[in-house]
Amino acid sequence: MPVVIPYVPRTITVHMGPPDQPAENVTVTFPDYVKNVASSEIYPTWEPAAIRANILAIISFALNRVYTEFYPSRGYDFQITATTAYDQKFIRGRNIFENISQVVDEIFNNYIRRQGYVEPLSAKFCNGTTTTCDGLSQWGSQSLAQQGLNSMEILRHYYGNNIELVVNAPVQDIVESYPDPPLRLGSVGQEVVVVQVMLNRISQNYPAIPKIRPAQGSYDENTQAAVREFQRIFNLTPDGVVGKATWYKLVYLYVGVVQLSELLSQGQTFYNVQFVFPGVLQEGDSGNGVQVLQYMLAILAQFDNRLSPVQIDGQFGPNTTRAVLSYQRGSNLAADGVVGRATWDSIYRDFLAADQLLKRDLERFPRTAAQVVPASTLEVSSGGEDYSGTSRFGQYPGRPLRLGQADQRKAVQV
Amino acid sequence: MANTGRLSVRVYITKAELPLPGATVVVTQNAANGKYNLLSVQMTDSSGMIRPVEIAAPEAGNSTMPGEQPDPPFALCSVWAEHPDYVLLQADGVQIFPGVETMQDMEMLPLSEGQSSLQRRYVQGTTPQSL
Repeated sequence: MPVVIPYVPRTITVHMGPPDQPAENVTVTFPDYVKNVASSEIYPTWEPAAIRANILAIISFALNRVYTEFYPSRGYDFQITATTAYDQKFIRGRNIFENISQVVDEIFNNYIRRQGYVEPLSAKFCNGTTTTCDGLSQWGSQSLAQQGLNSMEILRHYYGNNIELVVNAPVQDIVESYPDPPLRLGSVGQEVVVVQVMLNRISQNYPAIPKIRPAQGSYDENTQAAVREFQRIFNLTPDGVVGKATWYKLVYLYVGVVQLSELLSQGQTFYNVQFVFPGVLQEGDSGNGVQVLQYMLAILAQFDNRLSPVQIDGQFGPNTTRAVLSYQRGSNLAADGVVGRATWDSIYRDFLAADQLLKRDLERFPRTAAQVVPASTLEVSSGGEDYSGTSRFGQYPGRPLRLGQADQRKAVQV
Repeated sequence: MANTGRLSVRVYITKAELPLPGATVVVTQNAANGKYNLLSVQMTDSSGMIRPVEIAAPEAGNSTMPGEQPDPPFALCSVWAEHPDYVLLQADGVQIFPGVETMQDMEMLPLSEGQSSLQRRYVQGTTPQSL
């Protein structure tokens, strides 16, 4: 019988309530899910060993749900819930603690399992004061850490001696897995080219990250400076070295950026007339109208993680129904999974706003001489950020304007 | 042990985390009588970030040992992010622990044509850990 190797999913879909209760399904990247749960379950002031032990338990529990397809096998369209009664606490959009974030970035694809078994351990835990359970006690782990135990010793204390740690499990859809050892000043090779290409692409959106020219696979001071700035922005240790945490943060972000770009390119193949309401669409339909619908939902899902992801294949199947339902629930429309005129118009209106914002903001990056002809000569002479032609033109610039003041940013001109 | 924590905020849009420069970020704290204390007002830079804000927090001892505590072991604040093209986002219950940096990401939703950020606002709250 073939053994399926557990993998770390790139994203995980979380149901924001008990399984049978109607609620939103939120889709986030797996590292972000773990950071959220860890920040929701424990205090960041605890001993590092306790924090690490709890994070490993959280990861293993979630991976067990994913690997065993616990909820999908029961007919649900999510992988885990956000409730402590059934799973672990997750709060959409909450603040994350930096020390917890950095630990998760290092170990998000490590997990524990019983020796002789393949699946990640379904590592249950409870706080150990108001609730007790046959698993990790959260306060207990803090106490053991204060006594000097390390994270694996703490985990063995609660889960038994026959557990083992699996490190660097494969990550779904991430082709470039981390090339140990870390890349640093002086490294050369193909992996350095990958880092440089990813950084250059990300720096198109983040102008504070310097460009690396040429990107030829030699880790020079330029590359180190770019890596450092990237680390500073994304809450990694700013040491200028590409270790595991920096590598996966780069890859995840790069994949996100490229996916959005590809989606926008695909959109350029649609003519305006195709966005006219094509008649009622529902499961079983196919064709051009379905494709446009799927495209609009895909763009909206880029902005809102409560919207279910959808493939643009022109076939209105169960995934498309799920996506339509997730949109209707969030927009106070009748949640019937059918796209009538009201639903279409609402989707189109939201899509239009999102699409215009993406095109307008993306046109400003990168700012190179070889770029699109500027809208006016004023833009060329200002040499920097220009707000004319955007809705920010009339916005108060954030500081009072005084007699004799001059600026590059057109605030004085307004 | 320090008696302050740091709050850093990053404002962006989409899963690709495109930064939103020029957004207004406001950090407030609830004071007595239902009033607000204003801790910081800043505009985001080209990376969508503000300068981190230092906020007073309770002693670390409160959160490292279990038991009934009269006060929660963290300070609370609210973070608002505003930009004319996006729904006003308000994050309540942001926790500040001593000696810890708290990161609040603000993922903004676009406004439809004709809507203003004064009309549409999305409030999200965070509940404390069940410890």
